[in-house]
Amino acid sequence: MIKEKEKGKIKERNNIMYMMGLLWKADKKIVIFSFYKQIAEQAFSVIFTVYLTQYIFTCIEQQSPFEELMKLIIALCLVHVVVHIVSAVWNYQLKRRQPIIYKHIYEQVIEKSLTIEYKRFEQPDFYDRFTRALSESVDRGFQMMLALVYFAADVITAVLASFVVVNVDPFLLVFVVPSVVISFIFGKILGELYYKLDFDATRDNRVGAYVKRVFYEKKYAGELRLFGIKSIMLDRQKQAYDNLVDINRKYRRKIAGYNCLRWVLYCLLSLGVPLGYIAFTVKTNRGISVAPYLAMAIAIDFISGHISEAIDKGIEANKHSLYVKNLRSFLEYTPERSEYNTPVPETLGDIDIENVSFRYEGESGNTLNNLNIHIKKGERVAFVGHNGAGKTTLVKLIMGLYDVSEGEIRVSGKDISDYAPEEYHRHFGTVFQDFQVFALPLAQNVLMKQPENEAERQLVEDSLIKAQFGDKLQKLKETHKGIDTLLTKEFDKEGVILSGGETQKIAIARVFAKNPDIVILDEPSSALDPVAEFNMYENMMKLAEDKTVIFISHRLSSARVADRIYMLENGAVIEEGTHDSLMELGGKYAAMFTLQSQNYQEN
Amino acid sequence: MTENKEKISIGRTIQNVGYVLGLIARKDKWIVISYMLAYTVFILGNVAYDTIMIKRVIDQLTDSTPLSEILVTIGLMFGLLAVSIFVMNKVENAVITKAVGITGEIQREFYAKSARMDLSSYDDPKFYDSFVLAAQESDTMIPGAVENSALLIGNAAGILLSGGLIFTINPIIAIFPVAGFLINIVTRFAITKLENDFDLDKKKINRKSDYSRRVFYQPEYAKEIKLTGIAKPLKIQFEESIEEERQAARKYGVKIAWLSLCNWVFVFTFLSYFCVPAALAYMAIVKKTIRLGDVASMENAANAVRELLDGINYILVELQRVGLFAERFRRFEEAEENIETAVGIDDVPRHGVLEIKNMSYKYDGAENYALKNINMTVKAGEHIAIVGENGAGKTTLIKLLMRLFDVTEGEITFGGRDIREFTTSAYRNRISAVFQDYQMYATSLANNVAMEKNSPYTEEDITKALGRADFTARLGKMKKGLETEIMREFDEEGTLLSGGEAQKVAVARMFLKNGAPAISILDEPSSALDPVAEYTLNTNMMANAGDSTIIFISHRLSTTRDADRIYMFAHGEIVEQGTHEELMALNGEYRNMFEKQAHYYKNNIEEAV
Repeated sequence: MIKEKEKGKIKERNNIMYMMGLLWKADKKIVIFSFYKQIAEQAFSVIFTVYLTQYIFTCIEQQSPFEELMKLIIALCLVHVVVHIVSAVWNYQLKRRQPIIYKHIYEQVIEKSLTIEYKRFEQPDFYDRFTRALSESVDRGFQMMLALVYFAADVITAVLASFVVVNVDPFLLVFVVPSVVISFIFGKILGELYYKLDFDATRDNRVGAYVKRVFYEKKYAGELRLFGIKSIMLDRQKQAYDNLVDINRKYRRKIAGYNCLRWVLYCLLSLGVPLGYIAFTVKTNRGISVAPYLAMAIAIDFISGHISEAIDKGIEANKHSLYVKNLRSFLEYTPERSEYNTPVPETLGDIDIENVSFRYEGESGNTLNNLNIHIKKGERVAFVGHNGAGKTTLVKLIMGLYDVSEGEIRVSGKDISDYAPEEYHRHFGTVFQDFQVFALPLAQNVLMKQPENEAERQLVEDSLIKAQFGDKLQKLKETHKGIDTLLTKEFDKEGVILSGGETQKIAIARVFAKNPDIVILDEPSSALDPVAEFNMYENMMKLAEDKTVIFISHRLSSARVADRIYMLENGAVIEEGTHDSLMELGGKYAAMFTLQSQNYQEN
Repeated sequence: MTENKEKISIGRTIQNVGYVLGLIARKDKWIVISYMLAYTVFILGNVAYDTIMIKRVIDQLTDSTPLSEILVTIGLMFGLLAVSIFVMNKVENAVITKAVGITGEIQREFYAKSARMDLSSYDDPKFYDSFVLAAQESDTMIPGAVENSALLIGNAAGILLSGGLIFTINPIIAIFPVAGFLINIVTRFAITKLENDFDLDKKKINRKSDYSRRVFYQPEYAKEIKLTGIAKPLKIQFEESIEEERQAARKYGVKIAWLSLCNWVFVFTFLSYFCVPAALAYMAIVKKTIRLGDVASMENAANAVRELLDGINYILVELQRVGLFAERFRRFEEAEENIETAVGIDDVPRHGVLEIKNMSYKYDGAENYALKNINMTVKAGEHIAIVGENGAGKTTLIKLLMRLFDVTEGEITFGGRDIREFTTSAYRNRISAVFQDYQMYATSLANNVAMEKNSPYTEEDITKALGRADFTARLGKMKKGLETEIMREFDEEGTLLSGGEAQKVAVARMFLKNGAPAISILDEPSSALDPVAEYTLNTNMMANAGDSTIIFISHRLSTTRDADRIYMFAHGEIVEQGTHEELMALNGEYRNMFEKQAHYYKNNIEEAV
């Protein structure tokens, strides 16, 4: 038990060291400067608060010459100005350099994210641990450094002030001890209480935030007005806030109690008792100088204050460092595989899927079962079947986004798991069900890079036109900046938000622009109107003359043009063949097609 | 965004803070007052300790007071501190606890009100932005109003006490903290303004950098990032925004640094560390008008005044934010409630003709009409299809029919009456709708179908409705059945539905009402469904429609073919209307669309082209 606790502590400390290492590599100067500035500032406060007070008190008591005192005050004030200048420069430098530090750290995050396997992104805890936590992680790391800076400065300040105290009466230092103990004990207890309070409140806070979103996000506005759902949401919110009040009551009572005890004890032991001791010393030693002792009462308060501050800052740094864990495990993640020896051929050839089974991590059953499919180069293949039959999983396997659980997928005769993913992916053009547009100019959303010359800009336009985006492009040229129009309003009011059908056309334009060896279309036309759909397919087929095309569609009319159709059910191929042969077979495909087409036949 | 750019007068700010405090006081009279009192006790206790008591101890130490008496003084000092600490901690924690509950209560009223606003107010960007901000800030600003007004009162009391003390001993010393305060107010406000502007700029820039890096580790973007070269432009964008932030830091940072330096040198070095000690030492050593105890207590009092005044500076900045928040919050008092709460005729007929007469609609602020001169007559029990290209205005029409907006010109009538004559809720009760952008809610599956508290429908009804929407197989896989929590928002065990599954749940909402409403409206109800599910859905829809009117929008013309009448929309206008056969015979837009879609479904492709 104890050992485990110790291990935990070592890890925390390691996180602190780890984060400091990151910051150090990012910008040595600002790290050093931060410590230097804070220490200089605080060390100076020792001179002012402790030393000068003692000096003035003594001067007054002994009626020393006023000029001497003035000289010292003036000299100290001049030094103080210098300290302020250092602080001002630091303030400026921090603003200028903080972005560099963030850039340095996030560049590592970005590079690392590119090497992490796709399947990791789909695991539920990936989102919780990284997506949500990573930004906080970096911010906390930065705050951790600042807390450490304060910690160091506070410790040094307390030590410096102690020297002054020891000079007057070493015994006075005894009175510093209680504040250390009190701060340690109560800092820990209170820290835990606040942590538990936060922890217990997490879920209810999330409910509160969710309900809030439901009421202000536009997408819910219509349904909120038409259904009674708002009563359910308000109930949830009430429940959550009632819980929050209970949780707060439970912990805040304790927090109030401990806090009270902490500060009452502090006042008693760090203010009352030393004063009593001083009174006793002064009154029992005739002729002793009162002034230094009075100054020492202030000094003990000062030292105790800094020590409890230091301990609080230490605890704070530790708390921040806990969040660094997420960043660290992200950056220290090693992909299962990083060496790929087979060079990817110039153009990809046949696809062989042999005895392939696939099971998602953590699932009990196979999503795909012993599949055998051979796709010749240049063939047009359709995967059809119900929602959830495994079609999308299959194309993801072909693209190497997942690794097969059993069997082998070969492209151009070589196992695809031996191809370097980046190289391999370059040969695919894809439109997914859940494609994304990026908050970048339209041209970059099509070309997926910055267009470098006029030819590339022309390619963007041509691709958009082929993808049935021509009319909209014309409008964008009139109202916005044509292919340089920024998409989405993510961070720019001038950005354009496109409808579902329009964004789908952009996804399709990407394929036209890329001119890949293998085209994969996963329900590319679900949001398109019939005319746009028809034209898109016509164009796609023209483009794809000598390319391998794999597509998934619920509109079986599009499957019909395929050279070969695979009907999937529960992760297995149950029928395959051309449209005609499958219709002749009269099986499930034929039934599905008839169902869908009956209304299109002339009566 | 218009964040914080708006300015309101000082009078209005005070009024606004008062408004928020009034809201809180209506829920609990005592929390504001008790916190003010507790904080005042705390500050006064501390100031008294630092000044009066310290002076007394020092005086007693330097004169011939016996030790026992001094110890009594020290005991009193400690008692004073202990009491103020005790009162403060007890009250503060109790207040925070209560404030949580009150915040929740105020938020609920705010939400309820927001759901009564006209939907069109969402289209006014300025109004919408301030609505969102008010909602987002309510968690911090409502307790913030209590806290900061208490701090303001407490600090003011502290200043009065320490200021009074200084005056009784030597008014001249009072000049320094007051001068410091004045300089502080001028420079601090300038600094705060610069920092706010910097923050605003930074926020804007950060949105760009945050976005450009976030996409790299957000699961939904992973495929594109891996499969395409988009990483590069995103990285460039990220680096650009970092550089922009550094530029902004330069622009504001230099000014802030200079102003801070002036502030520190005058307020701290000159007035506090030079003037006060020098003046006190002068009086004690040269003039010999004050004693050592006076020096210590005066120095402490001067510092207290400076610190409390400085505190007030920060409090005022916070209260300004509270005022701004309240300004946004109060805008809802004025938010239009034309539609949602409209009261009129409650008795909406069960059967009636739905008629659209010369109707046009323009979105607020839009240049062009979304719908122009629409005329439609729908008899009770008719099945009507609306087709047309993306963006032809179909969804807008549906929203007008539901009275989510009011028409700009012309009218919509039901049973011979303008729909604006009915009580809105009574009219909408006659309609059930499935939107194109239907939403799932983080609550039980049953609630996601019934969509209301204490719904009159039984579990059996809900199960049946889900069955008609082809959801039975999926329901069978759910361990907790209808009580399964949808979404993972708050429940790790929650179920995430795929697009097709969610659509089925949305359609089940309509089936649940089982023909009770007079009109069912469906906006592309099957876009994410596989052919078999789509077929099931259509069959069930027709079988269960009973005598109710059905209006549906679809891109799949096979589903609209059997409609009693089809309206073809283009660019906000009806371009063709009639039955399928009539429209085919017309040989126009509809026919073109139908044939394109039917092309590959025909028995013989060659013939069809």
